[in-house]
Amino acid sequence: MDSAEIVEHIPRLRRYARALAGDSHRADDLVQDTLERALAKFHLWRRGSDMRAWMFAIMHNVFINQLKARRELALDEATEAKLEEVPRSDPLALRDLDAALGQLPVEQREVLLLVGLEQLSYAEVSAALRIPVGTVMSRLSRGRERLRALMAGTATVTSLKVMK
Amino acid sequence: MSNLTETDLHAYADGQLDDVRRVQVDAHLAHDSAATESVRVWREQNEALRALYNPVLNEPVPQRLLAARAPRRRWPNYALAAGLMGLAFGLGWMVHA
Repeated sequence: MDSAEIVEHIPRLRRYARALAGDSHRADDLVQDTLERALAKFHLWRRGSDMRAWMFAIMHNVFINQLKARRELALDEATEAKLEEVPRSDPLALRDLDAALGQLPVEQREVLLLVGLEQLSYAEVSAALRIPVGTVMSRLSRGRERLRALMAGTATVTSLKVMK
Repeated sequence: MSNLTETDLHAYADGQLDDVRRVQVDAHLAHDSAATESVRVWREQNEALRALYNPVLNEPVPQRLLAARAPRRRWPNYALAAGLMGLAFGLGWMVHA
């Protein structure tokens, strides 16, 4: 088992976890559980495939399980209803971005971060989250629009016109 | 361009288009200010995310993460084999004695 390879990915796993989980303690708990799971399942990793994408897939499963255990898995609708409660301060301030991310439904936050922060290709995101690319795109679209609305302090979310 | 989709715009903002498609989107954006604005906002979001979270990459990794280990298998095969050999040896010794 070559755990050294896994260790190399820790800084980027921590970056993603920090953005995903919000607080740094929870984020490192998430990374630790992910590492333990990855080490235990290391024999399942296909040599030659992208280990980073594989670890993101594991982190996704661990994160969803943690949220379920804490009964914090927010439903899409529930989060949407909370949009108006977000306190508005100066738009586009970085400290607000962290709070705005926390207001996004988990499934949109994951896609937004894997694409925007981790710069995974849409196909890699699709593989890591085990969802079709079309679903990746619709979550990305909704997540970006909602984030824009949250950062602008506007309560109503207007959807983009889909161009044909 | 008639067949531009929102997916193309996202892929354009994320730098995931091939050269041919990118040039096509460029041409489209020249006369579509709403699409241009969307792309600008999305890129700004990406940059803001990296600006906010990239510093995590330079933090020292907590020791507890470096010490993360796979949960031990209850009885690895070699340990089981060694145990059985020891048992056999011990029994043999007792019988002999």
